[in-house]
Amino acid sequence: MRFRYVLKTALGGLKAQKVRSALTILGIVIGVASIVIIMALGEGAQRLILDQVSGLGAETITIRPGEDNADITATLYAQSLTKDDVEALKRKENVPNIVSVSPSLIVTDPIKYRGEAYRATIMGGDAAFFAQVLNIGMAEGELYTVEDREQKSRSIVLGNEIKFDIFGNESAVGKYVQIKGQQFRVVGVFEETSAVGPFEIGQIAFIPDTTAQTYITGTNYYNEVIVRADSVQNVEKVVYDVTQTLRDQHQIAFDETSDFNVQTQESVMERINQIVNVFTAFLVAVVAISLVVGGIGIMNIMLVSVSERTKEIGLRKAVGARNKDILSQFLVEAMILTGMGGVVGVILGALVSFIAASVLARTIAEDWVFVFPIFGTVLGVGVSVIVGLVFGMYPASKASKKSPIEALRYE
Amino acid sequence: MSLFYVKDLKKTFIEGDVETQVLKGVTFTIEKGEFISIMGPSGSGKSTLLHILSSLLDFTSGTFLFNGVSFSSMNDTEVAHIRNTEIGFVFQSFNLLSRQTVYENIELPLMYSNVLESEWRRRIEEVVEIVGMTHRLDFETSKLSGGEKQRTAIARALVNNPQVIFADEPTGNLDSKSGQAVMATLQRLHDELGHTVILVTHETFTAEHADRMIRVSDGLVVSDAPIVQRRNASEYFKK
Repeated sequence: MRFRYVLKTALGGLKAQKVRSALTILGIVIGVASIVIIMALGEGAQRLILDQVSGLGAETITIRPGEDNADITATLYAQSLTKDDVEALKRKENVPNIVSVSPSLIVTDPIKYRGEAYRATIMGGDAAFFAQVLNIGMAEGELYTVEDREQKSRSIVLGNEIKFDIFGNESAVGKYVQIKGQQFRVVGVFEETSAVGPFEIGQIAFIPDTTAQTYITGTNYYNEVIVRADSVQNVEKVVYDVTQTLRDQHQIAFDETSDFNVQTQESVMERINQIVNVFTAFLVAVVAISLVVGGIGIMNIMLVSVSERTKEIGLRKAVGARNKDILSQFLVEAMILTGMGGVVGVILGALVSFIAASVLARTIAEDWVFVFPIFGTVLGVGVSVIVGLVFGMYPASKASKKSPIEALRYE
Repeated sequence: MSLFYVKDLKKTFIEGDVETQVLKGVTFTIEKGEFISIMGPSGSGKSTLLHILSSLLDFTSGTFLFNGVSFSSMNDTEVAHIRNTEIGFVFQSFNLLSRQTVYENIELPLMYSNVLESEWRRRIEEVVEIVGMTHRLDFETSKLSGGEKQRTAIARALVNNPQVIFADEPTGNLDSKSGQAVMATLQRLHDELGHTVILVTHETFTAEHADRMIRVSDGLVVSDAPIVQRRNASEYFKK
């Protein structure tokens, strides 16, 4: 029997039970739609994060304390990046292809104003560099200057949310807040932004790193040093020079591992890709279970269908159908069911993802874009057809093995 | 070489511990072009015999050859090919696909054949003309009368131009007029188109439309003789 007729026969069988066919594929539709939604949102998130990260520029290199950059405790508490290290990196003879060195540290103390404590993310570092990288403008006032940093000025720039928490709608510039008993003069407030960074940007406050070390932490350690190479081509060389300089500074022997880690934007993006992909794969695997459940539903309905159409099977055999013709008829029927479920699932998933992306762009991150997951589509439809093949096999095989005369006598 | 060669054919059904011998050693031959009626009371084994002759059922012992070949020596594909090209079935309960049209039902055996698709319509139109169903070609079979259903089933049996037409109680579900029309069609298939027709019935009246009657009783052939005065179904309509 030619495949065209197999297809025609299978479609005829499904058409005869339209409502049942539609209900049967519901499980597959939901499963595939979920896969598409997860992959679309995963890819959207991935693209957003990568856009933010790549916004730092490909020539940006990040140095953090600790062997492993994924270990946040090491980043916060390791004491391997010091002021001397920063000075060493600034020396041209050590790292010739460097254009800027921007160290920063995290201050864990709260901001106080009129006796009230406010929990903000206080960074000691170069506020101008931060504003430039994330493309944030000023709502009021201005950033502190290089001179302010050199002179350990007690200036602070606030994120728009923490400013609102402390001062409400009043102007903040010129007012004083306290951090660990020290008075800081508010010199500027960042404007509201949709940019996504490692911290919630509206809740951030910047003070000069020199001031933070001298008056607050009382140490000379940094949590992060961002350096910029003079060109993308020189990034690898700068990574090498930075690594060698810091290993010399820290007197690390040849066979010992570094007590810091150096990340290029490329490696950060690779890492993010890896994390998002693993996470997406995990979610897809979880959702795939629903496809198995849907497949069992298909098998169940196909068994009912085989039972209901026993006489038809007998008739087909009596007029010349081979066992394999009957097998392929029911198998194709199951695969059409799941395939249709897959296609409907992709359309539904894409629609929901599109709406979700629009909502996310309006509420959380305006740069969020809808990404149609081509791989998710292929995966969804492919897996659903395979589900049909696997779960349709038993009923189809049962149908093909029926004795023609017993099938014809079936009531 | 006989078209059907049957010698000491036995068939036993086993269900659990119960063995029922339905055919107890049947012997006869059928030549090409004959119109045979296999007649017997209910439970005599006549339908089992027809199912064995038409390859739908295996036998327990004895010899059965179709055109000199045993179905037992064939694989599923070969037997299916014989059913498709050499054998046509007409059942008591019609066995039509009720949601499909007359055309689609008659088309069914062609789907499993090697006949070119361009030939299908011509063949279908030819057989519906033989059975007088041209005017109902696009009707869903569920909307047909019993007689029309059976004539559609005969058209389906004919479409691959088989050597043998097996008719299992073809008038059993029909009124006498429709029954006579079906019998007239079967006689025409035999007399004018040269098909071998094997008819199973429990009614003497229907059996007498054949040229030869094999009487089966209690799993044995009790008589096998030509019908001297064959009934002519078309006479019924002349009256």
